[in-house]
Parts: sequence; C-alpha cells; structure tokens
Amino acid sequence: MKKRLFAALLAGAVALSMVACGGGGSSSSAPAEDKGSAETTEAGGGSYKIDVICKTLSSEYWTYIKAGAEAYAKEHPEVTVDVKGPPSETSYDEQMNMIQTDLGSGAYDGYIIAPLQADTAATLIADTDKPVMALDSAINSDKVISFIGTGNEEAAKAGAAAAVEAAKAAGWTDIKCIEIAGVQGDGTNTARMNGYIAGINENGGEFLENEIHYANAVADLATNEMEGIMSSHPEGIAIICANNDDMALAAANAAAKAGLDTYKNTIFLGFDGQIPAAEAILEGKMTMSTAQNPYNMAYMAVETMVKHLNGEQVDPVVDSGYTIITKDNAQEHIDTLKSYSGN
Amino acid sequence: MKKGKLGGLSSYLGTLGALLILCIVLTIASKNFLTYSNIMSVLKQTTFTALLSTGMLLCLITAGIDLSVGANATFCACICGMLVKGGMTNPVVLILIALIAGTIVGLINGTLLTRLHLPHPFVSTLGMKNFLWGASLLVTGSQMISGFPAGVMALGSATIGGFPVSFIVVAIIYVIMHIVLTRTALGRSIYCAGGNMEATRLSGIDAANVLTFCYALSGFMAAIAGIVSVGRSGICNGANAIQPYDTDAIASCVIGGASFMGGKGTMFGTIIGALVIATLRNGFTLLSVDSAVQNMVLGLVIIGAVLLDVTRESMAAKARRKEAAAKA
Repeated sequence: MKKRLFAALLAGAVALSMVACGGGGSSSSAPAEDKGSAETTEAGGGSYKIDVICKTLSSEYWTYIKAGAEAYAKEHPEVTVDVKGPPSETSYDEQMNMIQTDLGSGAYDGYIIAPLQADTAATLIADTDKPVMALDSAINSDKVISFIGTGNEEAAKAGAAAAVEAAKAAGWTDIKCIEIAGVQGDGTNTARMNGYIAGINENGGEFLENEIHYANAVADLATNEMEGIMSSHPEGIAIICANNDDMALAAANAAAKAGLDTYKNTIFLGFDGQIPAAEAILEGKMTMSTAQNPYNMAYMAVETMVKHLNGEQVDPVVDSGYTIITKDNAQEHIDTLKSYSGN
Repeated sequence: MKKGKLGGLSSYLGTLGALLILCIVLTIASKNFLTYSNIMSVLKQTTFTALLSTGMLLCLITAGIDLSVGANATFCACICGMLVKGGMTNPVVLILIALIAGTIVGLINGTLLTRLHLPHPFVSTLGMKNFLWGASLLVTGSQMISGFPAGVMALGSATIGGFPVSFIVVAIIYVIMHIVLTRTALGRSIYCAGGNMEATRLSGIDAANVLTFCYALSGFMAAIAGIVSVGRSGICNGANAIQPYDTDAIASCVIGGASFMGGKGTMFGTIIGALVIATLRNGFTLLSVDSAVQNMVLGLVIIGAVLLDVTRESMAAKARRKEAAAKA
C-alpha cells in the first residue's frame, strides 16, 4: 500500500519532468529535434553536437545567450546545441554537477562552459579529452582552447570611465563613487568591482573602497543601501555604480523619491543593459549601463567551436565587445534586443 | 519499538522501488544514463548530501532539525582555505582543524538547545547558519581560495578504477551509523528522545547529552562534507554558505522515511533518499531540462515526500486504533 503510493508519487514527478522537458524543447525549434535524432548526428561526417552550460537560464541576459547559440544551430543544420544551466547564478554546486555529468556522458563533441566558479571548472575539465571553450568568464586551464566573451572587468572599467566623464559634464568637481555590489565573494561581482575601481580611479575620480554596500544583487536591498548612502552622505555623491541594472535602477528610484537636491545630478551606472534598464535610461530614470553582447557572444562561441572541430586554427581570445548604453543609443539597443527574442 | 522498525523497513523498500523506477525511466529516456562513468557521476554527486543527511537524520529522529549543516560545511572548507592562504600545507593538520571546527559548531548548536534551553533548534540553527555564512566570508576575505594541497583534495577527488573514494567513505559511515542506531544503547536513546521526552527522562536517559551528541555529530559530518567539497571543486568560497544544502539533506531524510515528528528514520532509507535526489538532478542535466522545471519537480518531490510522511503517520495511527479495537 505505502509502497505503491510512493512509487506512484515519484513516477508522477518523473512523468511531469518528461512532459515538461518535451514541452520546453518544442518551444525552441532548433534543439527540439536533437533529442530524437541523436542517430543522425552520429551518422553524418562534419555534424557536431555541442553542449553549452550557462551560469543560469533564469535571467534575461542568459536567454540572449541561449538565443544566440540556438540561432547558430538553426542556420547550420549539421550542428546541434544543447543549452542548459542551473537555477541561479549562485547554484555553484548544481553547475558543478552538470559539468561533471555532461563530461562523463560522452554525448557531446565539444563543451562551451560559462563557469560560475572558474577554478572549479578547471578542476572538472582536467581529465577530459574533448575540446572545451570558456564563455562569458575565462577558465584558467590549458584544456581551454578559446575564451569567448568580454571580461566583466574590462567592460565595467569602460562603464566607469564613461560615468566619470558624464559626472564631469554634469558639473561635479569632487567625483566620488560608491558601489552597490552583488553577492560578496561571487566571482562576477569581484570582477566588475575591480573594473569599477580601476575605471573610476584612473580617470580622476575617487572610488570609496571602504564604503562598498553589498545588496546581494537584488533591488529591494539596493533601495535600503541607497537610503543609507543618502543619510551618511547628505553632501551628495557623484557616481553610484551597481553590479547590475536592477540595483542601479532601485538606487536611482530611491534617490528620486527622497528628492534631495544634492543627488539630482548623480550618475547612476548599471550593468547588463537589459530592456527595462534601457527603457529607464530613455525616460531619464537612470543614467547609463554597460551592456555586454550575449547574443553575439554565444553565436561566436558555437562558431568558434565548430571551426576548431573542423580542424581550423582559432584565436585563444574572441572578444565579443560591449556597448555603453546612454540616452543616445538606448532606443537602438532596445530594438536590437527585441529582434533577438523575436527569433 | 519493534513495530517502529518494521514500519521503517517497509517505507524504505518503497523508496528503493521509486529509485529503481526512476532509473528505469531515465535509462529509457537517455542512452547516456546507464553508463559506468555516469553512474559514478551520480555517486560523486550523492556524497555531499549523504554526509550532511547523516547528521540531519539524527537531529530529525530526536524531533529536531539542523539548518546549519550546509553553512557549517562551507565554513569548515573556508577555515581550511584561510590556513592554506596563510601558508599551511600539512593536509593532516588542515583536515583535523576542519573536523574540530565543524564539531565545535555542532556542540554549540547542541548546547544552545539543551543547556541554554532555546525553544526549538529551528531558530538556533537558522541563526547559526547566518552566523557561519558571515564567518565564512570573513575568514576568506570574501575571496574564492584555491591551491589546496593534494592530501586535502584526495577525499573528494580520488577514485579507485573510476569509483569515488568519497562514496566508499560514505558507505562505511552509513554502516557504522546503522549499527550505532540499531544495536547500541545510544542508538535506542536517540530514538527514545524523539518519541517522548518525558518518558525518556523517566527511564533514566540523560536526554541533554544524547541531544548534544546528535548535533555535535551533525557538525562533524558537515566538516567531512566540507572537505569532500574542497576535493571535488578544488576551491572554497564563502558565498556557498547560503546554498540550499540543508533542504536537500532534509529532503533525503524525509524521502527515506524520517519524520518531522521524530522517532523515525533509517540510515538505509536516507542514502536511498540522497540517491533519488542526485539521480533526479543527473537526469535533468542529461535531458537538458529547463532549470525552472527542475525547481518545480524537485519542489513537488519534497512536497510529495512530506505528504507521504503525513499519510504514513495517519495510516499507522489507524492501524493502532484497529488493533486496540480488536483487542478490546
């Protein structure tokens, strides 16, 4: 009795996952076929099956990554890609398990990995004989053939430099910058922070390293932190930079609500350049954001992997570039992003 | 007492059946599931949760809970990391310090409950979890640390013919704990403490010591898990401390037949529970299931397992009533 009950429960859960899996596949046309037609990929000569392990799939940025990788597969029928990722960008353990499982399965010709913890990925790929490429964040390992992406640090540095210029233009003479940061100890967070520090300090600003406010990358905590910053610095701060757009926007909103004159000309610098942020920049709610180009990044990554599998020489670093989104180019940026998701 | 054991037996047979069904379904769904290297991946992925579940099970049996297990494991790894960063390279010393740190954290949890009379370990261990999260970040300076000596990494990374050493260690620990729980006075005291506190006290068992032992052991196991995680990932990172490791451990125990009411649960059931979770996650990856769907299914499995626990409980109560009625 009890046995049957439990078995039924679990079988139900399994069935649900199968059903859901089928559904998820059919909504995105390209990879839906690869599950059923594994035989065809094995039969053909230059046909490859490529595994793309993302940092997560549950955010806008990574849906563009997915779209970019799948777009390549759509244009090249001989290539199939499986795009997967853990539930969140702090699911370190689950991503580790994913990498381990897929390397062990031997089901793929090449692996493109966007590591949450680069050193962990380096440990995991140490024994593989299949080609591995790093996406979005570099992996320090001789197994990695190419890194495709823009360093978070480099992009953040450029964003910070632009923010200093904007602050000068807005009439600030004493350019101090406070960061509202993400998750303390997180690799991406550290990289962007280092970029901000360098970008601000090298361009004549002053990054207040002792006043970094950690807001775990979420908006409501960023609001609290911004309220704290306004109380402790009633004289005004020239630049508030945040680790992502959510926090930058939340901080800008908090400042607007408080209505302090000293924060009227503050530059709010975000990161990611997602649609809601670009819209906020258009409306003047936020000042600027640094956008990496996830769609191109993923497309180029699959392209580079296929080149390597075909025996061509590939570059160890493939730069996918970044854009600084301001009021001038925000509309254009929104249109481009919308065209990706319309694919 | 005897009846309780029989109940445990039937419940973990059910779980074993569920695991088999899951494996059969995955074998059919993915040609990569039933391969030696993939099964070894599942075992490697089971060890961390299995170790945390050992301590969690003991706490659950006493009708308590230890929410700090995951954070404690991370903390122990970070303590090691701090020492490595400071130039310490002796693996024996590193492992010993990690084990001592974990056990002390467990002892504090136990003392808070038994000697300082905090109402329910849910609160105190939740507090401890947050404390350890902060402490982990503090000792590592919020940085990821790598470069651990091979001796520390061995437990989590070594394999014998592809078979993970860490899983052999888990198997040994589970066998020892099974014997402790079923064949010793201490084991019986632990089950008693979860059943009826007053009766336990009247029968002359020092419940405070028994409970403290359970939490200290939970801390010790968390420390081993922390060392395994260092070996597997090659790094330690304080940001890991808020990962939902504790819920995975609770889910393993409950799927394996443990109850929040205490007094129930077996080591065998728990390892099956841990295997079910690892196998599910492995299957999701092989089938490239959307992570949103993964969350939903894992959530349903946990709810299903608790539902099962409640159903089991009410069926047992019904059976007891029937028996009593038959006697009368």
